[in-house]
Formats: sequence, C-alpha cells, structure tokens
Amino acid sequence: MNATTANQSDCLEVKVPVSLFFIIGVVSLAENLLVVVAVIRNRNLHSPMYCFICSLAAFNTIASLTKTWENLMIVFANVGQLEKKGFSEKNLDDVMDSLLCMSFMGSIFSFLAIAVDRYITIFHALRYHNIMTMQRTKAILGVIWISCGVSAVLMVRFFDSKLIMICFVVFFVVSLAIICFLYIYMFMLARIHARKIAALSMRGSLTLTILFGVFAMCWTPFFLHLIIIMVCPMNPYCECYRSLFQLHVVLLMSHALIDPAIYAFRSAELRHTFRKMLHWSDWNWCS
Amino acid sequence: MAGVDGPNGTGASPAPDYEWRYEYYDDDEPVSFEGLKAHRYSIVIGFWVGLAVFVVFMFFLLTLLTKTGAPHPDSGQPCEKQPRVIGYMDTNLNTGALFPRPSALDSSSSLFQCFVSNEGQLNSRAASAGPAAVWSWGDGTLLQELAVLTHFNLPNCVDSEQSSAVGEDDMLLGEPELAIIGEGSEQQE
Repeated sequence: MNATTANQSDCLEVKVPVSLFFIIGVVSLAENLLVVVAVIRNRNLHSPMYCFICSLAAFNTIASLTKTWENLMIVFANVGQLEKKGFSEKNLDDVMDSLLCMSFMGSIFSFLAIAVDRYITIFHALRYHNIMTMQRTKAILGVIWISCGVSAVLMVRFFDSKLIMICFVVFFVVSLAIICFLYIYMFMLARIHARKIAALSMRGSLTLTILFGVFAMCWTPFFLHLIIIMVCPMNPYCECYRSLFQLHVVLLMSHALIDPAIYAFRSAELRHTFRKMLHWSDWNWCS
Repeated sequence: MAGVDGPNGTGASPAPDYEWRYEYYDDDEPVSFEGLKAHRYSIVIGFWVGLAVFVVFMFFLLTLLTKTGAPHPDSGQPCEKQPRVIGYMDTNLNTGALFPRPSALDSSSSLFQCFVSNEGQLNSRAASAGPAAVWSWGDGTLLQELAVLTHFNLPNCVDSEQSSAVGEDDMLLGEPELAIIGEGSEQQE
C-alpha cells in the first residue's frame, strides 16, 4: 500500500510519529491492566458481566502491549539494530501479527458477549442467574479465547488467501450488525414507558450513540482498508485511502484507550476498587 | 499486520514498511494519478461523511423513537413471586424521594419487587423514575432492576447478585443515580 516511488504517487503515506503510538499504547496498557487487576482482586466483581468486561480489557491489554512492542522493533529497525528481512524478525513479526489479530477478534467477541449479557439481563431477567451461571461464563470465555487464538494463527499463516480476509471482514460486519441490533432493540423496549421524559430519552440516545459511534468510528476505517485492498488495489482513489493506513491504526489503538471509559469506569464498584488499589500502592511506597 | 514482502521491494521509500506490505499489491505498475475527475481523497471524505451521517441519523432515530413510542414487547412470563411495588430513588429527577436513603433502610429487608404484567397498573412514580436507570450498565444489580423498571410484560423478580456498591454513573455525562434496592443486595451508595 505504499507508493512505488514518491514521485509518481500524489497520495503519500501519512506518517504518524512513533511517539504517538507509544503514548497511546502505554496509556491504554495501563488502563486496561488496571481494569483486569481490579476485577480479579475484588470478589464482588466476579460476576458474568464483569468477567466479560475483564476479558475485553485483557484483549485490549494484549493489543496495546503488542503494538508497543512492534513500535519498539520498528524504532530499532530504523536505527539499524534489527534486520528487517531476517528470519527471526519475520517470525517475531508473525507472532505479533497473530497476537494483534487475536486481540482484535477477541475485542469484538467481548463486545458481542457484553451486548448479549445485557440483553439476557433485560429480557430474561427472571432466569438470568440460571442462564448465565459462572460456569457458563467461564466456558464462553474459554471458547472465545481459544477460537480467537486459533483463528489468529490461521489467519496470519494463510494471509495470502483472499478468503481469510473476506472471512475477517464478514465477521466484523456481522458482529457490528448484531451488536447494533441488540442495543437498539434493548433501547426501544426500555423506552416504551418513558416517552414523557425528554431529558432521559436524550441521555439514553446519547449514551447509545456514543457506545456504538465510537466502536464504528474506530473499527470501520481499518476494515474498509482491508476491503479496499481486496477490491481495488490499483485504483488511485483507493490508493489515497490506503495512504492513511497509519491513522487508521491509531484509531484502532485509541479504541483500546476509550473502551475502559465506556464499559469499565462507569461502574462505581470498579472505580472504588481502583481507588483502593491506588491508595494501597501509595501506602506501600511510602512505608 | 502482515509482514510479507512484495516483489522486488517498493523502491526508495524511507518508511519502515516491513509490517505494512501486502504480497498481492503489485508494486511494479505505478498507480497513475493523471486525469482524476474527483478529488483524490474522495473515498476518505465520502466514508467519514457517511459514517457521521449514520451516527447522527441513529441518534435522531433513537430520540424520535422515544417520542413516537416503540413496538410492544410480547414476551410474558408469569411472576414467580408476589408482585410488589418497586422502590426507586433517583436524586437527579425531581420526582421526590420515594424512599428514605439507603442508609436509613434496614439492609436485611428486601424491597425488590416486580410489576404485575398488566400495563394499566403502572406505578407512576416508578414509571417516572424507572428509565433513569436504563443506561447504568455498570452494575449487574442495576441491569436486573432496570428490567423491572422498564415495565415489560414480564415481571422480573430477579434475585440481584451480591454486590457491595450499587450507585452507578449513569451516563458519560456523569450524573450519578442511585439504584434500586435489590433483594439480597447491599446498598452502599
């Protein structure tokens, strides 16, 4: 997707400074790690919903870690310490790509799981504890992690095949549609008796729009890039879209940064756990 | 992603490009930018405008749905417990406190109740206060309670899980709301 030579392409690749990648990577790593540790340590948070949020945060942690590590390798390669085409570097690159792919798919699966969990909570609230037991939750999470890991390895191994890319894009579009449908359906039915309260309806609409809008805004450019590579690699308009690849990756990474704010930090219990953890660590350093 | 090399390399590109290259991108034929009819970033602009329009459209659609009403849910489940009135407290709504603050309540008494599946008997106080909790997603207790608050045909007498804090930050706008008192759950907000 790079131009053949700088002279012949009017759409030069837009470069994002490595420091921006580092900052986003480190901050999102810290946030998501905090969420994972908080959910694990607090027994009150050992419920299906928090397990899914923790899984989302864990996938985001892996993504941030891998991306930051990749940036480090790019920096070293630029400086000359690493050989770009070396055998071990390529293997390492494949490993990092697999981890990134796994965390992307895992994030999407976690969003799906969170949406389904909320759906069951609302529409089958009476039987929620029978439907969503902790054992089932663990089984679901196990299935998600294993399938993401296996798919990621397969995808990177057989990346040349267009079928893999098509599957990836179709998976994304279908997940997006399901999430959209679930949330809008929940919203519609939750609003049935709240017609009078305009203020609340505004807030509900705003929350849902933010939830879904951020997801779409961060993920869709990257997937459109994949589609464009498959569909029109030689078209100049498509090339100009592809030249913004690094910006799209920044958007993808910033979603890992924003996720905790949308899902995790809105729980008072979780925030309470954070405060306790941070005060405990302060106390430990002081003593 | 995808560190596969293209054929013959990409030429004099100074960029560290070993991750961002795809094997099937044919680098031998340059992409010609001669004679473009539209602006060269038209796909980019079109995509972002389309996405913005979609998000705004979704926002207005959701807001409109609340004004015109939404289709009825038709799932009905018999209530397995005695139907009682829900108590809900929302400090941000001017509906007045329905119950004393949680600290004044006996925490061992369960006030979690369900609505009878009869829409004509909506509790108006809860009706006005109920939807406030709809988007407080953070707590499982609250999610169970909102199912009751939203007055579906199914009365939801859910045993809320044991969680120590129930107060939720409802929206990204940051207005805290107090949650319902759940059966068997502790209220600490």
